Amino acid sequence: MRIIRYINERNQKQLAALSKSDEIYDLPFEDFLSFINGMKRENQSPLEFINKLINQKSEPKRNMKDVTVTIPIDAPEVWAAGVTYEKSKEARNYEATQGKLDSQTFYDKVYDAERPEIFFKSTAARTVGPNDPVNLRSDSNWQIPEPELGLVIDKSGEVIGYTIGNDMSCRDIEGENPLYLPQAKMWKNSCSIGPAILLEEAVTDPYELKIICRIYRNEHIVFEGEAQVSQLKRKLDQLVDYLILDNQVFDGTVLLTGTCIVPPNEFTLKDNDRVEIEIPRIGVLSNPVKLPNPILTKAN
Amino acid sequence: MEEYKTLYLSEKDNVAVALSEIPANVSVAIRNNGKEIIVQVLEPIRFGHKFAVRLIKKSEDIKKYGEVIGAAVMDIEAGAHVHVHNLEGKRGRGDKIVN
Repeated sequence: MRIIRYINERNQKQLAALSKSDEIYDLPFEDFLSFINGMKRENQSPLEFINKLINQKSEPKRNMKDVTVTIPIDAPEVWAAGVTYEKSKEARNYEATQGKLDSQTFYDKVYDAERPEIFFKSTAARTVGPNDPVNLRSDSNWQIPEPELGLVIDKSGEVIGYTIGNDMSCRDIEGENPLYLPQAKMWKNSCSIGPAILLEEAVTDPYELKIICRIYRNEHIVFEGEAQVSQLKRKLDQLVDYLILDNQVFDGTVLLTGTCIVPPNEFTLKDNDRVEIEIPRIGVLSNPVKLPNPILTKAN
Repeated sequence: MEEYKTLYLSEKDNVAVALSEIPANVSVAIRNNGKEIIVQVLEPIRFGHKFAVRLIKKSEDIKKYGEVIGAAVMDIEAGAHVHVHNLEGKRGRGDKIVN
């Protein structure tokens, strides 16, 4: 069972459950966290509650294709893990050695180290949802989407759901110097999540989830790749453990778990491309790519 | 009696939530853990909106889904719509917090 928000007749974000056949059932809760926390206070299972609600409702159902779906959660913060898949390590090494791959790098070290790479990715104001544009940076010539499984956690670090994330990245800026990581990862509209949250209790084994990425240019597919979460070098709960260690996290924080799908090295995103990331049980996160007019500063 | 769907999640709650449009002046059965309360709804209640399941006295806490969501700014009769006109939020009121 999945949770979405859509824009209702009163122009408000309406929380709703989404069935396997994409039927929508409104939930009488303000947002995902008030739903989950309300269930917790009353010792009810969110999944059972929704099933009961669906069974007792007689109103006509709507379908997801008839509504405008918006970001499922206003995540106060989005964090992300890096170099968690072998493919990601290889790609980062390619950037860091200017394609020579001739030396051991800190990426090799972090891949094998006990402590994972975790970085701050986005805030609620910078994060966009389904069909919103993801922006390109004006000062990078090598930009890619990073399709990832996102864990939705509560303030104690408990996983309460799964979503899809696009961790937009600048390979040239990160490759030039690892100290540039925040600039290679964070700018306006550089992070997208959605379209739905798959309830934690609806997933027996998150490692079985498959991630598919497609990039379209003039509606022709220019890249397609897929991977399975089981290719992850680390365990998902280990990533959460390091995120919350000595840290304060907030209800609805999203942790992106790293990428395993990397477009070919010569590929870079362009204005008006469209990125589609699919995790079959969650849905398809689709975002157009935009190169906005940069604000002129002394840096350009 | 026509059946109107409602959600009354916690026995501590003094409001219930409409799961369908409820017109004015109808009797609605509120159920929780096998117990049933009949409430005469006084005004139309939209989906997701709440109404009092018993008399809520002025200044009394309003509890929804087991949590205090505010206080009554006036006496609220059973069956009345509970919304911003008769509910004062308690969250985010820095002016009322004593440090």
